[in-house]
Amino acid sequence: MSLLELRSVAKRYRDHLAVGDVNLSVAATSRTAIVGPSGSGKTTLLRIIAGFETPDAGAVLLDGQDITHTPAHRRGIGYVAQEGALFPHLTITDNIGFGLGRADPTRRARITELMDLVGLPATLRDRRPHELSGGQQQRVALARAMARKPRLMLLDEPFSALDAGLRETIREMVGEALRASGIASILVTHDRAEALGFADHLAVMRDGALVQAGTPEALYREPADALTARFLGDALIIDADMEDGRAMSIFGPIETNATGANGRATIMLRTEQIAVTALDKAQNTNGPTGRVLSQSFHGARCRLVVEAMWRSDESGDNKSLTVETSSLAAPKVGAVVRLDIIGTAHVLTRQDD
Amino acid sequence: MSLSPTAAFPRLPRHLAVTSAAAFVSLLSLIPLGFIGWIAFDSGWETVTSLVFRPRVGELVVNTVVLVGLALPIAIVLSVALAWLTERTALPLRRTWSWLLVAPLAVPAFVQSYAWNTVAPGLHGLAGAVLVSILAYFPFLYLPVAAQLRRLDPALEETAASLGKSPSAIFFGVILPQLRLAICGGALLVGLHLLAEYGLYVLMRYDTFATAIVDQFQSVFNGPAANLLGGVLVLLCFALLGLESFLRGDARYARVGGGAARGVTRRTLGRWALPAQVLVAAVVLLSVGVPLFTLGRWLLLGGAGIWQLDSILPALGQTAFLSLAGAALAIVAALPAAWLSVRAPGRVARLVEASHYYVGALPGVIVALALVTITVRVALPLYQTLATLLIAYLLMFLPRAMVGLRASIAQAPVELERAAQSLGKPPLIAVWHTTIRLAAPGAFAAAALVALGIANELTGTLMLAPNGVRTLATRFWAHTAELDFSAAAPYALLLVLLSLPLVLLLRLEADRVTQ
Repeated sequence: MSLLELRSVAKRYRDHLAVGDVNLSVAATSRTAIVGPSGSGKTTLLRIIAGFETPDAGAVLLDGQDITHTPAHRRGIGYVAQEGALFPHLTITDNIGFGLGRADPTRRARITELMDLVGLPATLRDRRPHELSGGQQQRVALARAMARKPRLMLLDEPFSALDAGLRETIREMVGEALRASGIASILVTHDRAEALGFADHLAVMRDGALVQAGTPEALYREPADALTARFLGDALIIDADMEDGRAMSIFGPIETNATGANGRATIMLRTEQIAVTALDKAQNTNGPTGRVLSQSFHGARCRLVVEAMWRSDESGDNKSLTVETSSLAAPKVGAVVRLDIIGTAHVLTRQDD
Repeated sequence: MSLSPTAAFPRLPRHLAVTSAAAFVSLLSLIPLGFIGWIAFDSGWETVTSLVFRPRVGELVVNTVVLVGLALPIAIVLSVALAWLTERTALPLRRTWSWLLVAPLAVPAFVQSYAWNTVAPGLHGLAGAVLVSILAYFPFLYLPVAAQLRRLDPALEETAASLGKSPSAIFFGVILPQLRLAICGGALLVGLHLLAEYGLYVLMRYDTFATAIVDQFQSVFNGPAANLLGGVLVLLCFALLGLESFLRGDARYARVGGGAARGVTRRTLGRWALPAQVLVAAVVLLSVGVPLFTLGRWLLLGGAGIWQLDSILPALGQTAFLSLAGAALAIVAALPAAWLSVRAPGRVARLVEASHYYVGALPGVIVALALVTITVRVALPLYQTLATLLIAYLLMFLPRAMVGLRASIAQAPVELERAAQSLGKPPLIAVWHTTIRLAAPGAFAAAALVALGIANELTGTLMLAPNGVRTLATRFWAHTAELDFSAAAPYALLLVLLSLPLVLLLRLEADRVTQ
């Protein structure tokens, strides 16, 4: 049985549908990321789970119990707000111990244990929140939310206010701390890298609806539509004629995941599925070729914009594409390259004849 | 290329210009205290002991302490309850109520007292003084507390709920501690007013230091007795300041982290809806209804005969002029110290602030007495001039300007000043374009408060006004003193009407700042 279940949850603000008919289930100790552009309703969904908002329709079940109308303070669900929301009038110790009883004999030990778990030095005990860095504030917010040992933790874009380097460190710390304590978590974010790096279960939201849910890899490789495909990573989306499951594209025939299909189709290739090899001027090849228009260096990887040199007059689209290659011996601007497809393409839409 | 001033003159202390300006204003505001010290020294130790250590003074101390000790806690609890009801609950008509709860600011305390004299002639002494004090002054607490409630980040309350805290635990554990600054500031303002108030307690027949000092002054012009009583009052005021400073602590003004605060969810009152409605209605009825009813009654009884335009119109014009000029002066004078106390808090800033506060606690008559003596002995050409009167207003109302300015400057992040400086603006220009701009709405509100105070100021004006200057308040008081309540009514009405736009401003301002 799943730990949390949303059944046809909907929420409307005046004339704006924030969340419409969302079904989602979260397994115990799992890590779910709800990802979507801003305004997609993901934060509203999280607030409904936390109990800060009541849905207009549908039900929220925790451990099979209907908690749709249970007030937030009786749900026992942890919550970390975007900016941490530390109590400015309390010390770090009192912030972390806020949910614990004052007379709790284990209070002190528990606070020490939590500070240790989230990597806060004991010297910060008596500081006030404003004396802490952004990263430390989020560590305190997490420790505070974990104090009452919730089985589910809600994370409302808790890393978005942190700078890039710190973001990853804190994200890993949060993931590790939650895993160690066996707490299931739901992370809301608009950052795909964050979602992919954090979750073992991904849910994509758009315009208040849950577009697709599954493992990060499944969603990345086989997105439901072009928008989701682009949202989750760089993608090359092209039209092609299908012949017995193979796409007759500008790259020549490509194997797809739609076995035996025929007719017009839109297929998707991830950037890393296209390999470039520099060609000598004299060399001749039958496969698709292109010319490097520009090159940008990203350390280990190098990003190339390649202009296609085949059938360039036919459709007009996809004349240039972005590919990535190892930055070691990357083709120079102006070089002619051979383009090879690795693996199979994913068919996004298909019109059967 | 241009060098920034700090690079060009690295040895100059920070904020030199601002500190000098603040120091100058606080020196000016130290005049009345210096005056009392000088009188005490001049009178000799024997006179001091004989005038200060006597049963009469003990009686006044007890009276004043009991009054403040009763009125302040009640006003605080009442204001927090009213602010919570209008800001955080689904109380019907809450917007209307929150307007009406600020409206008593338009009724000067002595007009409030005059109204209660008419409605309940038997109400006087301590009970009457406490009741009318609260009704006249609670909006000074309600306004900042309500504004702070609107400003609070709801994420804090949500987080507390997710940590298993019940609504009442959240109120006392999360909301109330964050109202501390607003409560301290408001309570200080109310407390200082109670110490300085004169007209209200005369009409309520309750002796406080302020009334005793004026009595002394009227019987023995410029005598040491009044001055030394003033000295004791200054000590009381210091005690209040110290208490507020202790309770305020070093709490931070801005909330931790940035980002847009989410709108609050209002609590439904359920079976408490009716009692809540009754409480709010009762407060409005007593604080606004009673004065309006009395005024209406006297105006009806007086008929057309009481509208003597040849004395009413000049009084109106003079009051408006003095209010606006005094407000502008007070804001300009308070700005440096307010900025310092937020941006560079320290011993100097505290000292400057304290020197401003204590004058605000002095009854108008002490400031007036000091200025009378000084102008007569040192600067005779200034004696009984508009300049002296405006300086008196400035000294009396600096605290109002300070409180409002400090709070609004604290809302403007210092990072903006730094950003402006990094964009090549010299420090003062940078402060002007960032903090001052952002604090402008708050400064406007503070100016409105000052103008409101000047329009209603009575005792200082009575003593310092040059020949021919008669404000609405002094006219009103003259008629009331002759027990001609009917003839006083048009002036009371005008005082109320003149204060109304300021109340509207204040309220709109509070709305705007927090959106």
